[in-house]
Amino acid sequence: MNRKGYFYTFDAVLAVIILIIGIILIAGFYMYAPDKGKTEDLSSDMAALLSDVSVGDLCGGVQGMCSCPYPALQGACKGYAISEQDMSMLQLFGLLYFKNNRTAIDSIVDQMFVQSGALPEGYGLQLMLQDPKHPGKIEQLYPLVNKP
Amino acid sequence: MRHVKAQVTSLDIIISIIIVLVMMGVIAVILTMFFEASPSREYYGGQVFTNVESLNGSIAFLSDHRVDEAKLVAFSGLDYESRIKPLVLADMERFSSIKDDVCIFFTAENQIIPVGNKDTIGMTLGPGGTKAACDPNDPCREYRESFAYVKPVLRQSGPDENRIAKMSIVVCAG
Repeated sequence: MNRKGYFYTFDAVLAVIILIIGIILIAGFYMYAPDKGKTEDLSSDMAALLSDVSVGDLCGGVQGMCSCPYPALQGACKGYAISEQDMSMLQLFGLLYFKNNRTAIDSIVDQMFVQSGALPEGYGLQLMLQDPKHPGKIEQLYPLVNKP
Repeated sequence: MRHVKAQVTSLDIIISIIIVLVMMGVIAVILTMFFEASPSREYYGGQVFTNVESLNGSIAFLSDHRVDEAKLVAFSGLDYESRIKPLVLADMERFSSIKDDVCIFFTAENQIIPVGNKDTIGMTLGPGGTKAACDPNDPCREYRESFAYVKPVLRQSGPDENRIAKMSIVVCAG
């Protein structure tokens, strides 16, 4: 008869252990869930920044156009003889995409956001482009996984 | 007799599994309700940047992701307790305590971009319990909680040199 008590106790302990494991698993899922609001804010900030900031803002100093703080941007600016101060960074990316120079876009984004530390630690970055000429076709511009 | 015992054991296992699944479901629902109720713009940082972007006149230093250097220096010269803190933490109930403090700084390539002759804007408690200019490496050392909000902005990092910088607003609570 006494052994029955052991079985009940063992049963209860086992149930409690399973419950605790379940609670830890569920709580862990919530605890380590990415902060969606911050991520959305950051991604919209980066897209808006590319639209707001012009090539002239970064490269149009007194030393003349194409004196840029980022080597990749300076290379693209000089390579395509950019003279339009108001050209936004997004427009520049459009031009580089049209010229099939996706490597330059990749390098500029890397230097502007990743190497500069503008992208906070613990966050990843992807830049995608939907080509209007090919609906449904989405190109990944950063990181460039398949070099053109 | 053995069949009856086996049936009892099977029933016991089935009931146990059902109870565990129900309990997990109840916990998941409770956690979902709790975690969905708390996040707000205060926690995500949207409000703190809305406050900074809503500044007017000679201290409206942030607009369209660009920092106006002269206005930023003017803002940094304001009195911290009576002007900077209330302006940055306006409409944020979570950070309405007098003990809450704010620290603003800019970094690019892991270097601090100074604001005039200062590295940071804002004051926090130092090791001795006195308020001083905040340390960007660990601004909330003497507080219970810290909330860090960041935004990429265009800043002048040197004479005639603009670059993309990370603007950080750290709120130290309690």
